Amino acid sequence: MSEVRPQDILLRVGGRTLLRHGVLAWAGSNRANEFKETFTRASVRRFRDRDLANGTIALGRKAGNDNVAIEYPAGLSGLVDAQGLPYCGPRLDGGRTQLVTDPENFGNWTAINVTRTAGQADPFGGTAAYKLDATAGGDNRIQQAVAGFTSGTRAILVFLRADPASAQSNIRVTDSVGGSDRHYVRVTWTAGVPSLSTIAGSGTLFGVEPWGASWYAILINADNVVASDLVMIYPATTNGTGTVYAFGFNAWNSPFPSSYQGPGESAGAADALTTPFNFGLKDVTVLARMARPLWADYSGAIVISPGVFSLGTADSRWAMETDNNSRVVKARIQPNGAGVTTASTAILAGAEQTWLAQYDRMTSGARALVDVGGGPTSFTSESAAHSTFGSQTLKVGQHNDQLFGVLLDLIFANGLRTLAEMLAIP
Amino acid sequence: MTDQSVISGGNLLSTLIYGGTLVADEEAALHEAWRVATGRRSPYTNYYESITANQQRTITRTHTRTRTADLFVLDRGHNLAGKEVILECADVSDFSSAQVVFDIVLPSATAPGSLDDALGVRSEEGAWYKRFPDRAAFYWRLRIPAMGASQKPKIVGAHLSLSYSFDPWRPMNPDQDELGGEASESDAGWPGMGTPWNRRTDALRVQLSTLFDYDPWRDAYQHFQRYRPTWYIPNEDQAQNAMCIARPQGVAGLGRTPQWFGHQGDIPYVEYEAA
Repeated sequence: MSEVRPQDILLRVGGRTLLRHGVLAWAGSNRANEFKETFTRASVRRFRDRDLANGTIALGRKAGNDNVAIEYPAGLSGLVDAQGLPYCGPRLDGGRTQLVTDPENFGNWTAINVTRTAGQADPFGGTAAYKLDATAGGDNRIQQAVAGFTSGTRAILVFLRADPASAQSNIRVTDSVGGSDRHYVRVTWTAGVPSLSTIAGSGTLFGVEPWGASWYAILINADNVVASDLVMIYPATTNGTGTVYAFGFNAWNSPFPSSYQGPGESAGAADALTTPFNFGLKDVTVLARMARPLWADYSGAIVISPGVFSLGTADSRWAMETDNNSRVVKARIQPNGAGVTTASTAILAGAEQTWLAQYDRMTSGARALVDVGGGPTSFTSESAAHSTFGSQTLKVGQHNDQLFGVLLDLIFANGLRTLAEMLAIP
Repeated sequence: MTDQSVISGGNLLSTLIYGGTLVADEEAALHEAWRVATGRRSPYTNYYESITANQQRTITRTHTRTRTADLFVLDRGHNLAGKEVILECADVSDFSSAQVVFDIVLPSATAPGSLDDALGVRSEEGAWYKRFPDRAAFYWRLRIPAMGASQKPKIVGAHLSLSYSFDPWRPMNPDQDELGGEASESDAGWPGMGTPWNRRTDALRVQLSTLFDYDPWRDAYQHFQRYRPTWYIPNEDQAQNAMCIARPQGVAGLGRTPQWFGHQGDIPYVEYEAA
């Protein structure tokens, strides 16, 4: 182990590279022929932009087909790294089908004791939000059935903005009022800032994200959901009067929310970011920095295994990924069709995640370890040697599944380095 | 940081360097949009101009990949002083979801100050500079609202790049200049000169703090290295002294000396196409 020097860096990808070198991927000396990433996505992607004006400007943006969405994660908002640069990176999500029939047109929802006023400024710089006034006492809400729900724990995202006098609003997933609440969530407004608590039912409260212009993304899931359950917005308390602004109600057949999908974007599409990787097989250390993904805060099975990177073909590859059943990070090796060996360790707390993997003896008896800040694991037992390969394609933010998160930095360095040594790279 | 020196990076508006397209929604013959990124500074032969007066105009840059910028410069010779100029960037081609980088009425007189000032800085020769918080996008657009009756935008040079800041390792002399021109002396030794010219000349006093600073430095410096006109702000807090520079012929570069851990050196420059 030794200090990492600039010449030890083979390849760097992500938000830090974007702000330091002006491009998303950078390798070696880029004097003439620039090292270039490839990016595809057959749909738009919504993302959170850089906040520059004390939250008075809506931060929601849209990236078109095949354009990378550079997100400034809410959890690292206002912070800068050692170089004085903000935290950002490509948002790399998988394809997902959004289930709410009218995610923005609340005029098509059923309203009970609520007056709806369309044409309000929304968090994406448009005017597709609604003002919702609970005008009479009693059960006051808007609601829509989600026919596409399948049974299980299901994710919800909705944008809310307080009216100056707002004290409370509610979000509810239920089979019927008076029936079985899947997750009934109270949104308590304190000077326009929401906080979440569970009234009834169960699920995860992922939290709230500021999206500028006083908008907040409310991120939750609900347990025990079944087909055609209702989703509801209460402008005020269940039986009170009051006002709230609402926009963009999304639901997915997944336990954790992903990026917002507007009308017509319901099919979703996966982000595919790749770079050339022509360094052959050698001892390599990989450092991944990322904003804490939402799925890291869900304790159950998430169906997918978010990937950080993947290199090689199906029969001969190495990767960093996570697990669908538990929140661990894995360094994975699969040489020449032989069995997979992995080293894994649990994800720690923290808004910024720093995950390191070492890959060793690739041409003799490949092995790997991983360290996320709690100390390195042991090396895996030696597996078969990889065949030497060149001209590979590196999948970034993807192995078997996409990362579903924001990749701040991904560094490949020559040799075996500790986490501290890799974190010293500015 | 304060009192740092700044050099521009490669001009992201240049399709010659970076590919992609640069087009205006209206271009007069022989005054196409691409001319703003040639690096030529002649207000007589090299400028963009539209056709129809008193209409909003846009000049749109479509890149081949997402790129980051933090510096915009309008070269001298433009007619936008006192007019509104908007720089936007987006990741959708129709700019339906745009980020407004700045929306400014340009100062109409020399405006000393910091490169980061809200209204930017206008130099003595009439160029206008503005550094802004880094933005990364695939599409960039300069939008000029209708300027008034009978008026249409004229832009000699425009520059967009990711700049590089460094601490000069010893004092600079940004006002030092060189006098030239056709000169002769009479038999009596009296000097005579045709039209004299002046151009500023000194050296970039570069000192990099760490070894990791060298690659970002070279990202920017490589364009100066190749004789591409480069914008140089000797002191970011007195940005009105900024100038367009080029590399004189000869040897230059940074090295590592016994006195300093990182790279260090003096890189000579001369003002490029001085007025």
